[in-house]
Amino acid sequence: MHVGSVHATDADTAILMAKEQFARRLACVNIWVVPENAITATPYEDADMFEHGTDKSYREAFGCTKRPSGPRRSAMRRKFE
Amino acid sequence: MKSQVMEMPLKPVIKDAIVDLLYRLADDGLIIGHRNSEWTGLGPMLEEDIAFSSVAQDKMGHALAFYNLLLELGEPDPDTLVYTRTIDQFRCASLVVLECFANDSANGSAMLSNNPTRDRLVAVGDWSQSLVRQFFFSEADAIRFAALSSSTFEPLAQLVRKFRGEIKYHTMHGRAMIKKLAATDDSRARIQAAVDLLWPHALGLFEPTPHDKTLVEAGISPAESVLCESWRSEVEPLLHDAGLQIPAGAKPAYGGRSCKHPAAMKSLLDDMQKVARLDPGAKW
Repeated sequence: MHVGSVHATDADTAILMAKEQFARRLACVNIWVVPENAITATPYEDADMFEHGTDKSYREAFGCTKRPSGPRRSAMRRKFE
Repeated sequence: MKSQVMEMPLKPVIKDAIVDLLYRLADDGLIIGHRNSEWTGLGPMLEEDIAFSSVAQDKMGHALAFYNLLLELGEPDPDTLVYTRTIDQFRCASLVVLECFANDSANGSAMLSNNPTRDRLVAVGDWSQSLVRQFFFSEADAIRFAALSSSTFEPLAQLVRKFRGEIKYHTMHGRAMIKKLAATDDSRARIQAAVDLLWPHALGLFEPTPHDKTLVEAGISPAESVLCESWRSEVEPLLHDAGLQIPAGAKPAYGGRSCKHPAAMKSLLDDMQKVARLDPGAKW
């Protein structure tokens, strides 16, 4: 996933800078960098092709939460109460 | 986590040596963290500003962890140690205390009358000195913490093992920056000047203390002289490969471990303790 851009003189420095710009908060296991001139991108005028014409929220997994199953959950609760 | 420290019976002579070692580690981290944080917002470019400030935060974090270990050993709490101790109670090395100003620093600007340190950094701050200092210090951290991670004083060993990832980044940052900046004439001259200036103070990180023998015999820490040799065998080839000269015949700048500091320590504490001194004991 692309998380952002950095100014750097070369790839090594870009990695060095990217680590502190983008891996300070969320968990991260690996960073890759690509020079800007190696990127082919869609024009911003075509942003409408990424819009959903109908509700597709079923694709989003945000509704799922990790939760222990029933008996285990009450066991955990007992532990903390 | 409940204190494991207090469960360990420590002989007084060993406890004294551990307390002294922890003060040295904590004070070094606090003061270099403070010094590097003075650059926040003033760094040479946005990305490096953030990276350098992150390293400063890491060092503050390490310092806090060492102060908390001291608390478990019966010393005052971290806030008391940081905000109320006097200059003759800090045990940091001179390397971390120095102000990183260029030679022509006689006149600072006066843009913000309430923050003279910032004004002077803007006017005559020499980032190459701060960078070389952090490079020297990170290499020392890497060597010292690697050794301490097998210390017989288990709470300390556990702590420094947790810092390994951060120190890995610090050395990666320092090495890459030194190498890049040594690649052009102008920046190499600046880096070399900083190396020449700071080398004796870097050697001073390994000032022998009266506790060395105890710490070695108890398997808590290697002797400072041994750590210094390891540091030199790591750092000297890095400087050499970058085309930098290693200052010959430098005399180590000692004194910090017995609480004798460069003049800059007074103004640093005036800054750092300014708010706390306005209303001692205030609740935040």
